[in-house]
Amino acid sequence: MNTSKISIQELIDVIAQQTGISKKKAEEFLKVLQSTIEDGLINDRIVKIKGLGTFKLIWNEARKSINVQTGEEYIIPGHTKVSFVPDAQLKELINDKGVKTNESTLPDPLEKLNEQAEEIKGIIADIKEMKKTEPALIQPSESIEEMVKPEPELTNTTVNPTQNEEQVSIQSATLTEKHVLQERDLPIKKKRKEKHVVFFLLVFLVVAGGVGGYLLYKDTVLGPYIVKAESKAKALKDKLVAIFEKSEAENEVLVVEESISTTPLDENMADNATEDEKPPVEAPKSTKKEPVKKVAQQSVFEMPRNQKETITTEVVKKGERLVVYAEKYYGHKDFWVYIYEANSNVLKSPGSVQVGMRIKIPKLNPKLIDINNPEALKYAKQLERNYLQ
Amino acid sequence: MNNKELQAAIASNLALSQSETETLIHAAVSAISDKLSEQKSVSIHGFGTFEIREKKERVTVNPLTKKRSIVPSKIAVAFKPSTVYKDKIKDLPRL
Repeated sequence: MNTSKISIQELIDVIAQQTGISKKKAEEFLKVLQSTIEDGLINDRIVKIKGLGTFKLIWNEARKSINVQTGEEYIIPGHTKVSFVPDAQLKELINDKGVKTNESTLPDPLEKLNEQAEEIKGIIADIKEMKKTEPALIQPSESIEEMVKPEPELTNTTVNPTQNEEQVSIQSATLTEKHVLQERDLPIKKKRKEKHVVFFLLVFLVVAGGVGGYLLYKDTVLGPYIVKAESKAKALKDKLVAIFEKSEAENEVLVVEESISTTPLDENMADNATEDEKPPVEAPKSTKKEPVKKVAQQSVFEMPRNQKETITTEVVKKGERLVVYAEKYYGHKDFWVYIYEANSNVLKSPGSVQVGMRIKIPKLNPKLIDINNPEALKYAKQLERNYLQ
Repeated sequence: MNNKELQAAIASNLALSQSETETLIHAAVSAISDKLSEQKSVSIHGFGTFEIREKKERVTVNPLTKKRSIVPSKIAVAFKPSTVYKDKIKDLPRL
């Protein structure tokens, strides 16, 4: 800043020029002005001058200080000092001629962080890609992974082999079950291949943690079982199919209980087993089965739920979940599944409820949400299990 | 003491009319502010110096909205009392 001082003399010149009075008078005036201000300050402790600002006398309290050189403490006595606050007018005037900048919002530093986060995500994605290509190069490991895929299912259904044996007598039932199994699992398989990236991570973890264990497992537990399965159902050629069968065994039990005659499906079954998949034929069967099960329990649950009639629409607020709405509108939190059903177009999974979403609260058959009916609660729980899987 | 009182005091001291004093005060004030706006400091001997200080732009955060914004740089007027004047008022009793 090129600040050059202007003395009172120059000021006198300017004032004399502006007002047309003599310099002597101008000087006199300035002196009087100065002394008047001083007097005014002493008397009133405040002097306001229009267009310039306000002078004020301020009392500074006595305070302790330390002599830097000697380290001695000493007290600065209380004293009066003058303060000057410029007039708004003056401020404006000076800033007008000075550098002018408008107030602007600053880019959030978080944005930068976000950018960095994106970058990191990209890098992670690259790493994933690399991992993905790795197994392609090492074919054997890939095959092991394929084997591992069904592992979780196996662990869940290790009890099933015995069940299977018992149910050999009810061949028809088991066969249909297999059927459904294949039909259900094959599409999943395809999906998995497509979403290999996502799946691969899971597989990778499983492989890392469990290859050794699995191999043992396969030999000891699976091996014998697979042999049994093959002998029972000749159509089952590879282990995957066998595994699928096992997982279905649970469902089998249900079917058996319901004593649904599924003999007509037997013939198809044989065909399907050999051919691996016949989706168009099988699809209708599965749909048939589901309702039958429900009928066995209670007719209300079988009826397709009307999701067009809604009680209201809720906009999700922080901390709210479907359970909250279920409690609010149906009186029990277990009935959240129906809300989830009604909003399945927006909700990919029960947990994907986010703040700001519009959630429809469907109007339900009162029997369906009868808190006093254990069947209703049981059914809701069952649905819950299905959705949470 | 406000502007009017100041004006009256000066008028009586110089035996001038109110309007004359007003123009004089106005002339003095505008002269000072003109010089200031030319980035010059004005020193009145025995009283103090009016000077300008450049305030750099800074970042503020609105505590309510958490929005960060830049306060632009600006020029402020400061008055630096002379040592003579400081000593003069220093021993004034506390109000």
